[in-house]
Amino acid sequence: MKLIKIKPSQIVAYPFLVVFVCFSVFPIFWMVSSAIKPSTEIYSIPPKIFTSFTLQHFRYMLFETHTIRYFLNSLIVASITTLISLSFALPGGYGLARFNFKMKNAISIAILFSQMLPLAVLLIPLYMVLAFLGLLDTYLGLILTYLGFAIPLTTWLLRGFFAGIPKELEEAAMIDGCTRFQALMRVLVPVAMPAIIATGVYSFMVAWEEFLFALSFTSSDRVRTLPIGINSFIGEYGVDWGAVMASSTLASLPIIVLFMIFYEQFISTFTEGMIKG
Amino acid sequence: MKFFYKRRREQGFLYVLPVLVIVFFILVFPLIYNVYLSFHQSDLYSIDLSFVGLRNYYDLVRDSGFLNAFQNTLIWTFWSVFFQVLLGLVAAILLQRISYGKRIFQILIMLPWIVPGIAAAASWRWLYHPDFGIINYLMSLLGYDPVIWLGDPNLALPAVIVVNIWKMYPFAMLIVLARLQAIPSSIYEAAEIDGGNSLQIFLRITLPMIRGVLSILTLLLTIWSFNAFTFIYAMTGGGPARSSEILGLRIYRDALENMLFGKAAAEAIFLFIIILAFSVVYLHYTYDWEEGV
Repeated sequence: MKLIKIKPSQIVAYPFLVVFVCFSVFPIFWMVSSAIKPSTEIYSIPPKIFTSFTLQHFRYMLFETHTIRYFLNSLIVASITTLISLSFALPGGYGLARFNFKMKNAISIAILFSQMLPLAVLLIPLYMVLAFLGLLDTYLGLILTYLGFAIPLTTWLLRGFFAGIPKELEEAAMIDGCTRFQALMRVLVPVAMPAIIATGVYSFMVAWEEFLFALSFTSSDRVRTLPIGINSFIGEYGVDWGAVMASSTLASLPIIVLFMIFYEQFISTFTEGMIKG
Repeated sequence: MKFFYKRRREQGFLYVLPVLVIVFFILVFPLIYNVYLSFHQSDLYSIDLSFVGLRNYYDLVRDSGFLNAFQNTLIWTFWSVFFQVLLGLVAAILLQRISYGKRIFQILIMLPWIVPGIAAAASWRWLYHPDFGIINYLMSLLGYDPVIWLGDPNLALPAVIVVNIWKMYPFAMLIVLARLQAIPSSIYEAAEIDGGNSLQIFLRITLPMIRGVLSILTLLLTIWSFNAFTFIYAMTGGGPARSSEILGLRIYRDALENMLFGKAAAEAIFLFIIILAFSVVYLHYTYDWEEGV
């Protein structure tokens, strides 16, 4: 029998934490519970918490709207953005962590400041450039836009991780005859896998939920992402709340699952990148 | 080992070069182009530009709609960030104290940060629904009349601020908690032996240790709130009667609904300069450059 020792000062913390958990979780719980309630119970006063279960809203959403298409579009755009940004960030983060060169500090600061640029400043010029290149309402246009945000961020997070790995690791590989780039790919990448996954998850999340550019740069169901689909549901006159909550649930579940699976790596990479950065 | 670092300067730059190219084409060039646009006027439905100098900026200062949006943005940002940091700090301190169930509490508290913004906006609109929303139902149990949260000029902005706080306070909690866990417990033990009470320990030890992180955190949250768009767009559309219109929404409307590229570009540069000036002044007064974070 293992006894858990809890100090009195700890016990006091629990009721307050329960209040925080309720505040955080209730809106999400209510979203999911409204998505699986029959319409008659969604619009009932008083609201019912535990009710009969139905998939009618999911069925409607999947078979009578373009939601599946939006979901796939989001998946394609977010996945490609993540893969490309990691392939830029891997050498980029490594270069910033390992070498000294002219302008290195200026470049580091520029990368950090790029995260402060208001999206609104980029909205008009990117719209005009994409229009000029014929890339409005295409996957490529959206992916290019997201890369501008994802690449500096992932580079910065990986830089923090590489800085914490001893140099001797790749030097040993180089003595054995690897080039530096080979040493990076064959020796450092396996070691850095948890950080690479965590960074990838974050960049996926950012691309998955992005709203302003997806709204501005896409116009057809062929390219529109899931957030824009949800927005068109709530923009209708006489909103079908069951369908809105079902599509919101559909958009939330994949990243909640991703977050829970990679929770440990995600938290440690993210906080180290932010705090030690 | 010197051999391996021969030509390291040039080589290191090559590793970073692809990142710089992307940053230039997708962030720096558009920024410069935006400045250029802000000195021009573009007509509705044509992209022909004519140079107007500073007139777009001059017009902004006299535009009551713009000033209203600017004022709303300040209110929105101040209250959002104030409560995001406060709640995040309290939640982090509570989590730091407990040992049993810490992980599950942390995951649950962080969920709002993970949920896509538009799904959060939709869910909260449903919670705020005047006829079937659960918030009005709870109010009725307490004996209050139903409130049209998002349709009342005095309540719309505060109602959406609550959503913004809900979404981002977990991020503040995450960052503060990570810093708290890096403080060696021996420091606290020494303070307890010396007879310090909880309040003294918090004010004299914890607060000074997390000051750097709080400072950067506040800056980041301020910038993000200043640039916000999704919640206001999807929950109130800036209404009723522009009472919740913020700059991010106004720029979007002027650019893509009214097609006034020059005017919207000037508004965007105004926003950018405010953020930049605030960041510089803020860091100058709060951030200890020598100590770091």
